[in-house]
Amino acid sequence: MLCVNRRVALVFIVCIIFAFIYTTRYPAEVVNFPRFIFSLLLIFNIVLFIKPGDIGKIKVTKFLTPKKVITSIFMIAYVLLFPVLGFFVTTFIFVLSYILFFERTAKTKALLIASGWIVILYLVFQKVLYIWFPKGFFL
Amino acid sequence: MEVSMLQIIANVFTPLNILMAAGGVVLGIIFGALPGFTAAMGIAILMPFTFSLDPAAGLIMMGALFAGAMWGGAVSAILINTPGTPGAAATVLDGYPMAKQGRASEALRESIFSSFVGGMLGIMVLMLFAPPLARISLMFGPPEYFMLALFGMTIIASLSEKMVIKGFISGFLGLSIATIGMDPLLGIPRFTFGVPHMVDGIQLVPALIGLFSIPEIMEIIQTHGEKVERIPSLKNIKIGFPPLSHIKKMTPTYLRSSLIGLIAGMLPGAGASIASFMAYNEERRASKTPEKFGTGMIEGVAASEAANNSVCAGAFIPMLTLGVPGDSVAAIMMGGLMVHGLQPGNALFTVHAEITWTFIFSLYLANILMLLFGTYCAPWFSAVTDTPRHILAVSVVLLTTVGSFALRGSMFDVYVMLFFGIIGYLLKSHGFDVVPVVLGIILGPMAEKGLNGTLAISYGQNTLWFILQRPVCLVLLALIAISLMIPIIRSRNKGNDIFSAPHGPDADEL
Repeated sequence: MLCVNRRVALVFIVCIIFAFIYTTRYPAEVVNFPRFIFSLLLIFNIVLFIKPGDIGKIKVTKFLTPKKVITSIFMIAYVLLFPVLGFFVTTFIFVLSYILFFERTAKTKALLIASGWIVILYLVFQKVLYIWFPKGFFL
Repeated sequence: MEVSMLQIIANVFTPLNILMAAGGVVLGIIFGALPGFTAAMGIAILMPFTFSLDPAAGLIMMGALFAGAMWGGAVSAILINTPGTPGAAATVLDGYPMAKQGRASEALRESIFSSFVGGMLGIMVLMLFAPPLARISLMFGPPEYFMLALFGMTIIASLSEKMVIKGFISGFLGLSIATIGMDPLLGIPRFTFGVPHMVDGIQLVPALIGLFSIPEIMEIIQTHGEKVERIPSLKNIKIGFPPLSHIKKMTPTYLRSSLIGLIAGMLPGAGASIASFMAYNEERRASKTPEKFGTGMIEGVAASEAANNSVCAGAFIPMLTLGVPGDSVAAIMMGGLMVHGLQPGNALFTVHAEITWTFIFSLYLANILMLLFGTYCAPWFSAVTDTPRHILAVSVVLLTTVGSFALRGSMFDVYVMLFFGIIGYLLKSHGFDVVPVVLGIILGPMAEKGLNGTLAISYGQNTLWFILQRPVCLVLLALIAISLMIPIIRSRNKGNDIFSAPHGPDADEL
């Protein structure tokens, strides 16, 4: 099993090789600078791979904890759903469900915070800054 | 463009600008006081909301937030033994022991006053040094700009708080990201993968918001439910101003630490945390009772806080004059300048002199407001540290999403924010700094234009020889060489090699 830094370096090296191949689609003048940067990036990653240092021997333990995974799922779902369902409805559901997930008994508090955010965002963005959010199916 | 001082003062004291400065300071103190929230994150979130404002008002709010956050970090450092910002890490060492001894108000008073002095001295030096330095930028042609961008990258990478080689990788990753979009030479779109939104390149602000906010949200939520050791009731706390005799006694500390902060601020990549520790160590060295440091010495709090607040002004000097930000906050503010159509360099002090000087003078106002708010409202700000982590996390997610969308009313910017947030989190959790990535994105266009320009004007000659014949390039080359030596010197002092992680994350952080 490769150590953390070696794995990271390997991912970078694969991406850089892909980027190098991709540069062949363009005229040489257009990709001179990117190739220069990619070359240096490749060298640094080869160095990291050869000499991963002390940190490379350390096992990754807290990279994905349950709290972080849940937060990521909530966040990604929110960003993907608000153009579909509508900004205000999605925001209300997101805030309410996220607070209730971490504090199951705080129903009134969660409702108040979710409603408060909706009112603030509506007043500040739609009434003061004239920024219109995606409406989607609902609102 | 000539502007009178009277005109500038009149600009600063308009009701809108006073309101922006006050709002920025209050938000800054709140962001600073919340562990996990940083000034960089606060400004990144705030930036899209300032675009609808006049450039000066927007910059005033961001500058005030920076100043407020630098002191705000001391509130949680003193009261809950957790630095609110990295710059307040040295404040914990004596601030928390003072609070435990029942001297919380004394520690808070010292932190506010020394922050105020450090901030004010820093602005004076900024006013003194920025215009002549900006004039030097007139001597810059494409080769100098190329070398300057390289210098910015090398110094930031070499001062990376984690592994040096990882600092370089982060920086060059940022430079690679900057190559996405229209090529400046022939106008051909590069690496856009057929996505029309990417023809203009990666939008800086959503990328910054993602890189600085999402990793912090993950850290905030990780601490949810953890018990925090805190100083009991601060409701009846009285802070007030320090007596004149105390100020007189502490003056050498204020001056010494502010100077250290300024130098560290000017040095790209050093930042507030290095400045405050350097000032703290220097204060301990100068003290007659160095063994008492760490047990509740007021000089320790003063040194750390004066240094981290003077970093603000120091970081603005290379950012405003040469376009090389001194730290992450200055990098974000530089992004803000550019979005408002202002290019760092001599033009800021000539063509846009009114905006620039209004911003610089407003920093005085921000520091005065910080002193007043800190002195009279400290108990309220200390209450902020009680906010449950999951409520903070959900609020930041909302603000980052809304802020990214509000920029251009485009969902694509929200996806960019999310994508860079994931990248930022992956990098941070594997021991990489995100600051060099940001610097790379900002300095990338400068480096590419500089290199293309150098190749064009040196046509028919040896490019390297052409660069070596230019005095400013030679100075920059020497600086690059020095910055490359820093990791070697640092590692020799610490007795490890340059690939190890002197301040790197331990197993738990990973």
